[in-house]
Amino acid sequence: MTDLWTDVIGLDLSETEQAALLESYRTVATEIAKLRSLDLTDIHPAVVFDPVLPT
Amino acid sequence: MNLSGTITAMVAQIREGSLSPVALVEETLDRIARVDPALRSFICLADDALGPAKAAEAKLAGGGTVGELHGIPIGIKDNYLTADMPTTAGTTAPGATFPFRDSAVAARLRASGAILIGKTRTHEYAWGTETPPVCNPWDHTRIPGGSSGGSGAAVAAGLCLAAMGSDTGGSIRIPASFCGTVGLKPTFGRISRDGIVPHSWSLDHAGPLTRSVTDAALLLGVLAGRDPADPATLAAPVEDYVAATREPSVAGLRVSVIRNHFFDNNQPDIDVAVEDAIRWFSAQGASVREVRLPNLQYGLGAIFAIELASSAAYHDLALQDGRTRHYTKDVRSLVEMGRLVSGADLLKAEQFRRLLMSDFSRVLQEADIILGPTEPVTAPPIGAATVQVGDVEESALAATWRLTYPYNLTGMPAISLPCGFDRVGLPIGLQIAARPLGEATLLRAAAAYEAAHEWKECAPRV
Repeated sequence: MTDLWTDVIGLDLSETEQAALLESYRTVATEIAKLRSLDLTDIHPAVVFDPVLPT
Repeated sequence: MNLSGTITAMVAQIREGSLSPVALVEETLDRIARVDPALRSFICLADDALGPAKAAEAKLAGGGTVGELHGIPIGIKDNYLTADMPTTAGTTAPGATFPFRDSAVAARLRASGAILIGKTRTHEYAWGTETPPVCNPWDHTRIPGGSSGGSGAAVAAGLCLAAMGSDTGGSIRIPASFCGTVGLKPTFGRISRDGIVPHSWSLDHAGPLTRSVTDAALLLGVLAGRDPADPATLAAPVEDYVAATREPSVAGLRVSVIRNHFFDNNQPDIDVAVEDAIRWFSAQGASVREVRLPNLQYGLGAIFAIELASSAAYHDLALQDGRTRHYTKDVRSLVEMGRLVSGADLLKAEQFRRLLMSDFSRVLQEADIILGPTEPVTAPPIGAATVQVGDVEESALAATWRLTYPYNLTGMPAISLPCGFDRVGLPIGLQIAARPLGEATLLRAAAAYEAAHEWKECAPRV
């Protein structure tokens, strides 16, 4: 069975540590939720791939 | 010897022979020995700073060509690699080792004649604004800011004439504001980050903390330019930034003030000082226009997504093998949180970044510079998890980077310079931003403000 924390998120934390991390993340999640509410469908991200081979 | 002078003045004295690089380095080391046990701004000193000082003196005596920083002692943040001093990036976690080689900045500083006197402390992995155990020289119970807190404290206390910092969400400008120095974050890509321990590749900037705007201009001129080792560096010509500061006028300058976000909730003393500065620009013939950028309300989510995800990527192996358990609690938490940011969130943050850049582009079609505070608060007490700003209690981290991170998202150049003191005598920073590669305009405006005020002459009693 897939474990959310170890297999998906990639963190090996105790239940207490998981709870503490989620609590710390609450503020971040709120701000990212605001970002998700924006319609940016037609805007290209600031990251532009550069196909020049490294020397 | 008076170590409170500027680099430009001291270089002139060194060149004419009235100031000895050896005497300057000896005096600097003596002052560090007397003052730094209390401040703890340096994590290590060069084993032999007097060696290069003697070589600098001999070169002068021999009539050789000397560089722009000949014989000047400079501190360098402990996340810049150096060939002669260990790098820790502020961490004591086992397994974290960094090579002994000069970063591009260290190499350019040495090539210009500077003497790297020591490594200044950073918040662990440049991920925080407290920089323990460094104290603020204006009040030892307060933080110096961060993550370049050692550099801010050392420059403010006169322990070196300049120090290098790095700025991912404000880490040059925050300590500059809290410690009462100048702090310059140039345009993204203006100075090479080769050999700086990465924090967030698309947000990291290198830049100096100095006592004067002209000194910041001098260092920028030495350090700016294309470097193939840092693919983000720009090939744009390097202007004569010092010359720009020698024409300190703001008459005819177009100034924008962004009234939302930057003035939403600041300590009252800060608003007073910054409004005074805005009035000064207007009185000197600048046109001041007030604007609003509603999209700034989404900026915190964007920088969190980029910075946290980048951090988790950089520390990926440490996350996998459990080394992050040895990081300090706050940094470990921030690195682990990066795993909770989705790929879609990260890309949406990068889309938002383009939107924000369009917004700022519109502002800068009708303005040459943008004025505002660097910080909503003055230096918080050491150990304070939260700060009271007006009626709002908020996390110290959230407050201290609120007004600086927009210019990391956009990559625009921004400078913090002193503009007053609060009611308990702590420095306040004025932030000036300009369009990308607009450093000459930025520095000219900052130099004009600095020349008309005496804040630069104020130094902490240490």
